[in-house]
Amino acid sequence: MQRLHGRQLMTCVMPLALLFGCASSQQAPPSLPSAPPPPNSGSGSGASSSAGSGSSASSAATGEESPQGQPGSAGGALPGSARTPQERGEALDRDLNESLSKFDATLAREQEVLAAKREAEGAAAAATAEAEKEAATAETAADGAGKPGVSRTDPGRTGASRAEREGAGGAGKPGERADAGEKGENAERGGARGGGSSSGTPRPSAGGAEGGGPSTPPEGAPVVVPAGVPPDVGDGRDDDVVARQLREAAMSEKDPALRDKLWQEYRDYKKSGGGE
Amino acid sequence: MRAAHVRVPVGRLVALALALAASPALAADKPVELKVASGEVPEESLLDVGVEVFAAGVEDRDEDELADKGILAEVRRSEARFIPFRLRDTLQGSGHWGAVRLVPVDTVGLDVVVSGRIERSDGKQLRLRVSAHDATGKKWWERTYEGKADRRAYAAQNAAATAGPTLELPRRDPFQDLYNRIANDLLAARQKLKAKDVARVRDVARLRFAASIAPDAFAGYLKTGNDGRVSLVRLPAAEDPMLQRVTSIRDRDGMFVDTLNEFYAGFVDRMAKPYDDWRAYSFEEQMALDKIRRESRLKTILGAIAIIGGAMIDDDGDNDGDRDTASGGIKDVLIAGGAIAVQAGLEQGKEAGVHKAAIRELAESFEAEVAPLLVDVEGQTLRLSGTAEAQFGQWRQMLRDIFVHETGVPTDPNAPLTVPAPVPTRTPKG
Repeated sequence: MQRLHGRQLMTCVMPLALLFGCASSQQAPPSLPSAPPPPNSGSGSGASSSAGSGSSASSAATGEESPQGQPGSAGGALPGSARTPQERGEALDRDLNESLSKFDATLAREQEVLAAKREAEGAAAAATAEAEKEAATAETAADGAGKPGVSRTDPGRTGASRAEREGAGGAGKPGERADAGEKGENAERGGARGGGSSSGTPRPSAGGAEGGGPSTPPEGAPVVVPAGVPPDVGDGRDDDVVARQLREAAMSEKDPALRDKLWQEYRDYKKSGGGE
Repeated sequence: MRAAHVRVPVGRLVALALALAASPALAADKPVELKVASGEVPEESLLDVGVEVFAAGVEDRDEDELADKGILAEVRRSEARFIPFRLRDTLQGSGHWGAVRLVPVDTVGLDVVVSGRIERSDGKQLRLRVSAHDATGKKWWERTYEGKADRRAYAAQNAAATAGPTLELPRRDPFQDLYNRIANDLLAARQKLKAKDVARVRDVARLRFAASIAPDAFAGYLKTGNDGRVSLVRLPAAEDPMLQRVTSIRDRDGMFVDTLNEFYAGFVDRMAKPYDDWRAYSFEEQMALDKIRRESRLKTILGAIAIIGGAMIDDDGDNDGDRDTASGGIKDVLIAGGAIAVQAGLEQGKEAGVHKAAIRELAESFEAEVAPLLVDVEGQTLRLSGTAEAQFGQWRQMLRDIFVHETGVPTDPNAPLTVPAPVPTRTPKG
């Protein structure tokens, strides 16, 4: 259509050029853009349609999307350079609002990461709580007069303070980790799930290599190397934030029993689809 | 013939010794109850509070010298976030304030700013230099707050630790009374303001933020006096579109600070347990150290008095055999006993070294635990602050473009996009 239009113009211009004997057909097209734009109107109907390419170039240069004058559309008359003050003001406001929205999204992402991190910490705290409880119970059973000493963590309190900020914290893995660490008893339940191989944690539908929990050493097994990473947990390259937190917690844990709990949490989380 | 006599007022010396040896006993502070709002405070009466990250009080100080006192820089820098966060919680819990946030130093556009410096913190005592001022630059107060640890908090902590996870006790900071005092003082200063003063503070805060983000449009609404106080020249129209844009940005600023507070909250959560443990152990060691020092000082002083008293027993040489024998015996006993007491005191003083070493070791252990957490939270806040800073710079430019477009008033492209915020006299750092 553009080419056709140019040819029509050429037919008009050529006789005039021949008449004055000083024009060539090559000079006609450059004269077209010099036509004055319609005053204060971005939607002027009488403009040349060849302005479509100019419009897109103008939009690209200003980084703005022209509200009219799409390439090839009819009726667009140099809209990029001929917006009304009101339209320009609207465009500026639109840019500002878009920028505000992007910032909102950035903050929302930060909040999501924080929530995931808290979730992971809650799971770790729950596992620690359970292990400590088991250790305390075992010690009490073994020696009624024995004092466990100062516990390394106090998950009940930690969970309570975290719960104050998290509220119910039920998103993510329903019934699995979200409630862990909220209260002492919830922490215990979360820890029990994390530690028990036959817990309510969903089992993977395939890949049953870990189904029986072969890598979890039995109770009373010899202490493994503290800094060791179980061979079945991979290298963690595909871990997401939660999995990475769990992995780091497990790797830095000195207590073998707690470490095993954390690794089990990590396996369960990975099997449930997290970290991939 | 005179009897042997002592010419020194032994009674007074002993009293003096006892006074000198008396410990700076850890008498419990009188409990301070937080004044909590009895009902909902009307929105127009609420002032937002920004509690700044405290100065750690270790800047420009020799690390070895600090370490000898059981002070480690990373621990203090962690406390510089932990302590104001606790204060933030306390203020928020009182119900007298609007949003209470922990903010970076020199945050602009807050109704009330509380800043502080940690002067002492060892688990036994906490001493803070705290000041508060409002958006107009008016200083509300600047005071030193000193508090002794509430033993019950440590006792509860130990009980919970002994009983294990099954025992859940209400969490109370050992220095909660100190936070309550600061909160109550802040409230007292707030209550001196009339309604129109509160409204003015809020307007100035809002316009200071506006001027910081769109100086071309809003700098003229405020005037800064020679004393640094900021006053209102006039108010923009409520429907001023530029003000509405700035209000939108201010809302984002609030969200940004809220996100920072989430970072701080996570940090405080993770730090709380090892910090409480450290403070509890450090408290015990400090108490043991004080006891040893007290007893050592008492023995040394009493021994010295005995030696001096013995030396001053006058043997008048009148050849009164029995009495001379008796006084000579007393003299010997006093001198020998005094020497033994002094030596015992000095020996006991050496034991203090054990406790000092323990305190230092505890601090180092805690530092090793908290340092990664500190690095983590500082990284998070720096990253987000950098993002926000860039974003706010972009918004400033956009608002300038809009201002030029709407008013046609040309602006100097080289002019700064922000105006320096008037800052009242600040609490000395370091």
